[in-house]
Amino acid sequence: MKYLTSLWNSTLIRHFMGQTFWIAVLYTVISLVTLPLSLWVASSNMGNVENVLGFENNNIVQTLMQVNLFFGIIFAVMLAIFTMNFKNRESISDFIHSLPVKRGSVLSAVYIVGILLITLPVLFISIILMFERYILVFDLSFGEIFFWMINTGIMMIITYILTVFTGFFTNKLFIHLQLIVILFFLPLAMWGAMLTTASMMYDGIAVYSSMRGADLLSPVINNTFPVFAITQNSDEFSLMKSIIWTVVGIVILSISYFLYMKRRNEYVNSNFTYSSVRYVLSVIITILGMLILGSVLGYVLSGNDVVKVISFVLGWLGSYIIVEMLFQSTVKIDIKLKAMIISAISAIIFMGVFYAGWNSYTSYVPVAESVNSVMVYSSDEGSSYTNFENKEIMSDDYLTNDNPEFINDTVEAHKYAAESSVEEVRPGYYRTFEVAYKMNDGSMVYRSFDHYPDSDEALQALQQLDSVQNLRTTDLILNIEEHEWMTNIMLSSFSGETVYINGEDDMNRFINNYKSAFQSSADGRLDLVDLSSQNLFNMEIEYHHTGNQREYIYGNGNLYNPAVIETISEEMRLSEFLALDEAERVYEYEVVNPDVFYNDFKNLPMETFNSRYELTLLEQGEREDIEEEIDAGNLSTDSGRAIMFSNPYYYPADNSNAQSAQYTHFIIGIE
Amino acid sequence: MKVYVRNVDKSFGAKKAVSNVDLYITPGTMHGLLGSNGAGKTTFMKTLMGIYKPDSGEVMFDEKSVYENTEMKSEVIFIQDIPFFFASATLNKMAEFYRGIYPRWSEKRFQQLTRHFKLDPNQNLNALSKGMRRQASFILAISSRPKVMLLDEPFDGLDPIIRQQVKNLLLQDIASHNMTVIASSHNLREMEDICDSVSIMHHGELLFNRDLSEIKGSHCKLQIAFNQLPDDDFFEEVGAVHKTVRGRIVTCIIKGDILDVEKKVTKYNPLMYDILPLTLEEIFTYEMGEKGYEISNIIVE
Repeated sequence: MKYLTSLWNSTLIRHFMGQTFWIAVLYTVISLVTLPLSLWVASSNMGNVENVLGFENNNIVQTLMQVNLFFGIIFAVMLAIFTMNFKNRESISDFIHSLPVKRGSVLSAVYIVGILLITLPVLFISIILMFERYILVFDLSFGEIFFWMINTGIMMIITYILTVFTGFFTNKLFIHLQLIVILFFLPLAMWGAMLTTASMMYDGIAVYSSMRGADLLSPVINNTFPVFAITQNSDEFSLMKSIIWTVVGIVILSISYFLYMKRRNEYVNSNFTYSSVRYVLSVIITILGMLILGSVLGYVLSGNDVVKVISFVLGWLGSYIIVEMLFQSTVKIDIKLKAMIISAISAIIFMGVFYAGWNSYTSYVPVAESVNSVMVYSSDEGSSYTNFENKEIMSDDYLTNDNPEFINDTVEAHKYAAESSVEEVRPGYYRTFEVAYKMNDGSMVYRSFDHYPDSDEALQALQQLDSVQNLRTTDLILNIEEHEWMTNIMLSSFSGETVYINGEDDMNRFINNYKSAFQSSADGRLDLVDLSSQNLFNMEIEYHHTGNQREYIYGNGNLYNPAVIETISEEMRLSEFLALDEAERVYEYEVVNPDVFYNDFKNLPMETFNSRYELTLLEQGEREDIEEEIDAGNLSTDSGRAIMFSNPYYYPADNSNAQSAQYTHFIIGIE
Repeated sequence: MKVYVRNVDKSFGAKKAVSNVDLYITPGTMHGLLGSNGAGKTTFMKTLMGIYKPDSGEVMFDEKSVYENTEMKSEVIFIQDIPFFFASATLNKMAEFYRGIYPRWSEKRFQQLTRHFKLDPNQNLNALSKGMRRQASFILAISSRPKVMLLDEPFDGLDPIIRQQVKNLLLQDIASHNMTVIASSHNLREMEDICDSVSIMHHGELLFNRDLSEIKGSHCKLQIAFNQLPDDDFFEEVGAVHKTVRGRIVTCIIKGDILDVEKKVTKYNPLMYDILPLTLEEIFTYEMGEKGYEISNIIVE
């Protein structure tokens, strides 16, 4: 107890409080604007907000709470920087340390002031919200306000502790600011730069991915403290992560006392307290700058390997100069040859490890026997554009295929992609191949290729993935597990037409009909089903699970399923839904050799395709007959009769393979 | 309060600012810390105050270490060469701060001194002149009633009247409350007047540490004129430690038994001679000269 009282020095607390009082007032004003005032305005204009912005009630509350925490984090950083500023100038540092106050008490005063000036405005805003909630047109529960108050307070206090902690590594306010940015964002910036640079050199790296959690960047983004802190004020709240960060905050707080005890006032005029930290940071940030500048230069110059090496060397030099300017707080930098050589050698070693590491990463293909299940997304074969998100409403098997044959086929296709991962990519050529393996030991392996090779063998391997079994795995309707959460099923065409199925009975009837007809509708050519899934037709379900939040899942559906045809036909003409009536040209063809035919349709430009197959261009009368047949629901995947019609919404893109017939034209099979 | 410094070292990286300093200062006295520029005086003062932790050795106030010792520090005040006040602080606001920090703070003294120096207690201190800021720092320090006062260039910026008043205040506390004062200064004349003892620092080392009364009893300056210059035996006999010869006039500093100097000098039949007490400046110049730090003329182009 005596020890605790010795840490309390009311004079110092009053002093620090007085110094930073107006920053706290400023934050309170910003908080008033971002929360109570904005909520009131949003409530007053609720109709407009809902209709124009498409926001939902709790989205507004969460968004504003997140905006408030964003400012709160900035406030906590500024508060800590200015409170700790006493150690940055010799005169005040000497004065404070000549006082009969222990360093522990000084630091305790810093923390007490920080915690008070953070909690008081948060408490004040919470009290206002408690009263304001009665005049809002939307719900804002006590629980939400209480959660916001606790979470915001904790996140801001952790930010404050981290900022105070970083202050012990420098004696300059400007560098303190740099260090807190470095502490928060260096891992993300470094990893992002490494991934971006690597993805420019290699194919197969999932910087971003349609597979949830499968990309390499998201885990780092989500665990970057400010991002994590702000997303906590939402449905993505994670108690475990909050506990971990709170523990980190407490540990850092203890370490800050230790650092202060060891701090030597005589180095108050040095930019950095520990020269070793300064040099390590300089080396890391120089490498970060080298990756960024080198990649940009390499991209702009787009030359051979020598140009790339020169780009990285120049990137390193530019980065080194910038880092030294920042760390020395002057543009007239003092270059220390030894430090420069160490930095250069570190960069060379880093690049060596970088090349070897990514080379090994992109060329790795797991052994099929060690794979438990697999998810595949290819823009060409086997699956669709679906987002692969594993939502709670869906069955665990959704998008996950554990068929040994399919796993084998996937590994084979992956091998072709991996072999070409280090080859020079062709500008404008894209053929996506994403794969996620769940291994027998529970670990995950993700790879994402943008330039799957277009050799016959490779495409053949990709085609192997096309199976009814995989169609079943990727079908949205077949994999719905929690029917009762659903509020809507939407059937949409590329032209923008949407047919809604509402009401529990209608939805259940549709699902049952769809499921019972699935096998028969998938018996024909899967190419036609895939082509319609990828380019012409998709399904979407809307459901409510937690709170008022609406969730949506887009996914594959089979256009040829009688349940789909019947449901659309009840609402509108099928030819209108598919935009056939808007098409400039409509062709017909009796398919003889379907494997070659559909492969050519996917890869050849329409002009070449047409001249090769001599398609029949339909006259107006013939078009009307076809439309009638389609409107009557006579779609088929196994009749061999294909109708191709120009895509009225096609806009030429830069991608060379986006010119192929499958993008400029739609294809459907009819009886 | 006794001030005892034992074998204190303090370095800034590879540079040794204070090297193996031993010093004892008697309570209720004023000690002058002299030295060349960059000698390490300020570093030493900050080490005395507990702002810097000695690399080795110890600084003891009444046998207690001062570093991180709030009990000791509450009885010691340090006035920096440029007095520090918080941003926008007034004398009243600073007094409020000192009142909360120093347990022996005397409000009566504060009011008395503020009136005496005619300072506006509500004026921003950082907007005042250098001399007035120093007056304010003395008001605050003296009102805190410390047992030890550490002063870095204490009279810099004060006019002669205020300077004398401040000296009187210090001497009062020394005489009445046994306060110990350690002051660093380049103004040797001033130090000579008020200090009981002095020490000289050079390149971090303490070259010299004596009571002024002792110095005056053991050092003197001899000016002597001869018909014919004597040989080295003369200088050895009188105990000359430093000499300058201009024509037939010799000036030398004599160290040791200065009572017999006249007897020894007359043996050599000088034309005339004069035995003078050494000023502090002469002692300083002599001691520093011994270490190669001396006045040398330079003629610029």
